[in-house]
Amino acid sequence: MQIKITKQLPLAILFASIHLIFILHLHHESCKGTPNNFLLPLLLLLPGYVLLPFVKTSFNAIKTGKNTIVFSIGFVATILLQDFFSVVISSCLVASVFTLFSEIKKIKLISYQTVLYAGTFGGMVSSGYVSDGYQISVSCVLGGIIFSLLNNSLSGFGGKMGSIGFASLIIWVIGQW
Amino acid sequence: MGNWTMVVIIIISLVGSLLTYFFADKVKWTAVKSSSLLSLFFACSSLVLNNYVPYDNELYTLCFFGASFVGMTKITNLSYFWIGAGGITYGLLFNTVYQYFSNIGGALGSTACISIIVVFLMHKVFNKYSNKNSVQ
Repeated sequence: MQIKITKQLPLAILFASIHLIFILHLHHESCKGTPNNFLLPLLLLLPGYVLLPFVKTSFNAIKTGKNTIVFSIGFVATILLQDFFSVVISSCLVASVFTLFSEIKKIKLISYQTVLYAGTFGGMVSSGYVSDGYQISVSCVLGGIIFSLLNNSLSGFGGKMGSIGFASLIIWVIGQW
Repeated sequence: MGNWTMVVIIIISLVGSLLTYFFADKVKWTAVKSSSLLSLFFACSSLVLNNYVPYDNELYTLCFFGASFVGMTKITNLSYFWIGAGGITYGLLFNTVYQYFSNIGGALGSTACISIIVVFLMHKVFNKYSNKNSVQ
């Protein structure tokens, strides 16, 4: 059997690192009670990420800036709505309103649906992790940059944007270990 | 968590992923529209139903929302069967990990992504072996 390994190893390593930290976060949380033995075997999956379709992206500052702004809108709007609704309704509401709004052809925002959705996932975080404007700003910039780097990779993979949402919070997650 | 809850979670995961995929595939909604509108509808219905028949609606809403990410998948040659397999994988994984999310953003998406990667790699291996056998 021939195995086709992606030529974009740095992106594969970046994405695998996001999931590595996610799995370690779950393990860390499980260790507060009875450790769950089913979590660490998930790490065996990570070497398989070299087989995933990662595509090289040239860094474009203007595009990254736009992505960061839209990511921030999703992130902040979801955090604000959490005062009134549950996290799921907050995220869905922001995404639904933006989606319907972006489908007005004159506005030409349809390509920003995904980055906004990624922002709403980041915004589902509780105030225990992200509580002030500085932390929100760092998360939004990080989210915008990581989204731009992975924009062309893993196209069509469900959950990619959620992983980017998690990646935007990685600093604060590791900070709590 | 009881066995009954686990079965319900797997059913919701399967339905959530397939329904989202169906709306994106057949009704031609964008993946984001399909996931967000269906999850919003499910969350609101679940909230209303909870007023009449109290149950753990937040758990099931979270589960459906995550399953809808699995349904956002649009990979060539990945049929409804594999999306359903992704939904079930997600359901099993969600059962194991949801109590450790501790209100962090993107956890559902990461769980869904891991499920889809498992299914994608399985699909890839399955295709390689089936092609090899058909050549022989």
